[in-house]
Amino acid sequence: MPDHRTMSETDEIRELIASAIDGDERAFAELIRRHKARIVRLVARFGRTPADLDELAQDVFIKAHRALHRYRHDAPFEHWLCRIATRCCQDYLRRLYRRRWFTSLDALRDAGFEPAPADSTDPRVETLRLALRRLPPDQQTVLTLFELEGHSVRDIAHFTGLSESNVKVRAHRARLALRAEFDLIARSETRARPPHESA
Amino acid sequence: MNPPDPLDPLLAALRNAPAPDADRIALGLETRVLARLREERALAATWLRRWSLVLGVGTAACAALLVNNLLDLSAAGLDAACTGHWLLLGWF
Repeated sequence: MPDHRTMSETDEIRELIASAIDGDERAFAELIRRHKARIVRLVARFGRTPADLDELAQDVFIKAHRALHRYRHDAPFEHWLCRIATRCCQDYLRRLYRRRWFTSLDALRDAGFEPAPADSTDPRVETLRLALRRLPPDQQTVLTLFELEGHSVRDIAHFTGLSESNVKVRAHRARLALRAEFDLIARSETRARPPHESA
Repeated sequence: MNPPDPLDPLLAALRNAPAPDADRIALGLETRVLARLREERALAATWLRRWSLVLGVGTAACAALLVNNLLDLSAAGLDAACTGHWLLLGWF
């Protein structure tokens, strides 16, 4: 493993990557340690259950390990990892979308998903989260990266492999679709609620 | 000027919401990833050994049959070739 005391951050990463490619497990563990907070935060936007989230986070680093020799240092390492994470999340969403089981909040709860306690103070936030999860995978990815993660259109284009104009179009359509889904769920919840509660 | 979208404050709340289980997942992630990598390497090595065995035995069998046909060996010669296969199989 390289000596980290006298090197810049980029050089350190470069050295760690070179060592990891040569089979140094400690170097790869150090790369994970440095970037896991960012990657876990990103995949947590998409993972439905704690088990899915753990598997997604592991998949990102396993795929990164397999592709380390293809990293060209033309973008920051974290961006490269985010790109892999985005692709992993998109594949995951597509698998879920084919099954459609996530449309029911009860099914989510049965699968072990519990909303964060901070959100439960405002039920509309939970409705929005559900509406977001009912969008098609591509729209959901773009909207999550843009609205929730605060990435620029350029970064999202880099992560997803789309053109910048395509990202803008998808973000706009996703926003409209989110609005429609949100209204639909809100209306159905109002109808389902007993009259004395909605008063 | 466009009126503010009522979804904006909700999106902001969702943006700032703590990621459920993220801290717990991040804890010890490197250990789990390395364990999975080792597991995958071990599995790949097992498969490589199995395929080497299959290919090795297959090649040896073909070579023995070819030699048998070329030299028109007797039954005893064929037995010797078969013994050779089994020795090779044992070596793998």
